[in-house]
Amino acid sequence: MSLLAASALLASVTFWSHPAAAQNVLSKALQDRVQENPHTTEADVAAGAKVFRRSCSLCHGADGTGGDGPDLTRGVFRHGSSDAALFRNILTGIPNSGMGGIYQPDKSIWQVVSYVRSLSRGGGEEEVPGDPRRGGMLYRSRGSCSDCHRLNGSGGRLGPDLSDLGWRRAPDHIRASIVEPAESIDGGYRTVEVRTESGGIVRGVLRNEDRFSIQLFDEFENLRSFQKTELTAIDKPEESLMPPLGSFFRGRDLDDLVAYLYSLRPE
Amino acid sequence: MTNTGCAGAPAGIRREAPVLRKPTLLFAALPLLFVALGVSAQDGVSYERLLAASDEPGNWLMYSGEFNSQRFSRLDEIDRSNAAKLQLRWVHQMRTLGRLETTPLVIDEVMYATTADNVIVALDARTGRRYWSYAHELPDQLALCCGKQNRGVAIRGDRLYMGTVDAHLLALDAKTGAVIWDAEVGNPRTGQSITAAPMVIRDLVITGIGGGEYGIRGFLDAYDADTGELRWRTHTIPGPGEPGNETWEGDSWKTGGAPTWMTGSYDPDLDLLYWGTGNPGPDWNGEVREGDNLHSDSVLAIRPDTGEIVWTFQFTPHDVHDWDACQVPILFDAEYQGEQRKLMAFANRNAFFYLLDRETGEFLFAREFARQTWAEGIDQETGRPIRVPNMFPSEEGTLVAPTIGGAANWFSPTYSPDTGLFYIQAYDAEMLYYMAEAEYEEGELFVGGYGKPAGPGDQYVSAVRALDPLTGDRVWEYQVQPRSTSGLLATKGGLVFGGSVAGIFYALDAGTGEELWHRRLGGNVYAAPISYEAGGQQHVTIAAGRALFTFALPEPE
Repeated sequence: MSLLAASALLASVTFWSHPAAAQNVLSKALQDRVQENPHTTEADVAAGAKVFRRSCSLCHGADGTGGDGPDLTRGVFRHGSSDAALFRNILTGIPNSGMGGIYQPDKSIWQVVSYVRSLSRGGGEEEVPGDPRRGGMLYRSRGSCSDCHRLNGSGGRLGPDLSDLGWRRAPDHIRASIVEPAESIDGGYRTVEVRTESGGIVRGVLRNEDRFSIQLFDEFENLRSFQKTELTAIDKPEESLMPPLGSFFRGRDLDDLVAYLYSLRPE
Repeated sequence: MTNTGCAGAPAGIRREAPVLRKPTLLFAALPLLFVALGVSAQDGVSYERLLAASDEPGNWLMYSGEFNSQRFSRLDEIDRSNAAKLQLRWVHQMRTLGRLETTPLVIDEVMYATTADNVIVALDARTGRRYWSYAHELPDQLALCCGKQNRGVAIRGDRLYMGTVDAHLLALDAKTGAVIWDAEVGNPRTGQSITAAPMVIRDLVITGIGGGEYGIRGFLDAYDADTGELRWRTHTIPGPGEPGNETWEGDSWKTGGAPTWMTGSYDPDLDLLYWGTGNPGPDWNGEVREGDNLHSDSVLAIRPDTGEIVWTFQFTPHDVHDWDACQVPILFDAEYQGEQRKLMAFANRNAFFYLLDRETGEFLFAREFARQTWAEGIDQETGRPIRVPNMFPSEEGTLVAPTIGGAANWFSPTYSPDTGLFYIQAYDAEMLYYMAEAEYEEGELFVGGYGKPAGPGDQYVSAVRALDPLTGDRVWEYQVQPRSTSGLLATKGGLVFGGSVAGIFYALDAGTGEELWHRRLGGNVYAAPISYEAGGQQHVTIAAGRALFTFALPEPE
């Protein structure tokens, strides 16, 4: 089994024919189970920052405070905070997440680890104005947020699960998403509306589309598939299914709600 | 959650009357049409639906189709007259290197399939396009006899349940793949693992455990479907003071194996759960565990609410050939010797087909269904084998049929109530069995020997055999070259579907065994086929190589 896996990995790197990649997959640091980062000078941090901007910023933001991917400035990481865990996750990615590996030489990976560590030198946790307890009340009452968002297993499923939002997003990002959700829609939550031949309309979150068919998660939380021959129109508005709430939550209310959402961490 | 106190709250977040932010969009003016659309509500699969699975043949609701495990599809659009016209409808490539042994579930046109390394994908059953996927994170090091495997999930409500090769049981949201709870069933460092699909009975999720090659002490578990809390654990090997413990020499019961690594069957009327158990450990050195070694290589009848063992039957007492009774028991009712009986058909790895009364556990008869050299026969009174002398593994090697893999194994047989025939993938091969020292060490293989092929595997017959389950008579056979370890599916259309390691998928006439259709899929078939309805048409799906293949008749003009 392991032989098979190893040869298949070899085959795949040959396919991409990238000499650095070949070194990587057979990473010496992984093989030797190196625990501590050997590349931690200021020059390493600077070199790591370059790699980060090239390979990581698309999801984690140019400053590491998050986007589609989690905020990395806290100094605590869900999938392991040790040097070895960071190294591995950056090298090969994290299963069941959007995080793919960057497959670069060991030294570059260690330098990215150094850079990521430097992001949290200020202490990590951001001071947020607002009262999280009151924010929680707003979330549950006026906001009706749980109609569409799930929190620790209860609530709707149309929008992203917020159970660990505080791990994934910086407060500014949370605030912006409440005020103008369409500005930053998670890749997996694009809005789609289709009209069927009989004139019916189905709206939801796009899951997949090809020349012949389209799949979506409709707003009644059904997984739906349509042949395009059954449809008269398909629209993908650049809107979020979530309405902008900037005029609804202002000042103290907004601060409290952000404080609450930022406080959400996995149990 | 209500919207009270919500006056002036933004529209668009009440699911009952969805309105988009900008009403200029396509249809914001037509909200009422949502009601008229006739959405098939995916309300989830109630336990009542599982009980009445035969009433919805368009879905495949559990591992073996229905609780009786007949793996019989009641769809009949594809039949003897048109099977030759079957066409490929879609292929879904799985992102895995492991072999696929999955039996997908299909509920209201959504398919749930698994990979060997515990990935679940939710697919559109009409196109094979993906709705979501979930990947369980596995540790780098696992103690597994036979590689990573997973054979499928169970469903209840809108939750899926999957056992993992690192011995967890997970509940996941069937709409999104989000994990709801994660129960530690066993310790993977001691060789415990889960490869079979769980089974749901009422509010319980039943799962077995693998690890018979690591000296575990087997058990069957029931977890609360809502919370993941363990409700009962029944050990397959009796502890000190319990009847049967005396069938183990000394402390050998502690490391005696008898795992429960395949999904069982259930009779709701008798309220009895039937589950096969695996080999005693160490596999090939019986000298360290003299005795019958109860309840290894047995079928257990269990009360699902309590875990109480109601009756047991042991197929191979004191097994020294690794002949787990891991086959899926098929439950059916028929007139046997002038009396209507509730029966269980069991084609065992040891090459004998057994018929039992599933109410009482009474042994009715056993008959050879594949070549074997280890027993003169089965005592037709007691059900115990009459052994041929000197067939135990030895230092110099002992040639015995069947092989370690057995005359049958985990891959599912099927039964057609229409033909009254039982169909099994049988193998007539033999093997050299060697015995060696066996010292138990946690997390290390504890097998006491090994096997060696006696010749090229394709010199032996591998065949789908149709048996009369009331006599054991062979009605027909369909030989597969070089061999097959795939499960089988019988259908109301009078067909039997199966595959082979050569990557061939075929449809046979259930009455005669005549081959009606085949296709080359270019990857070994280890899984069992299923059938379901989508877009108003019958489909058949089989996993082969690293992909799922789905066939249907040409679309009507």
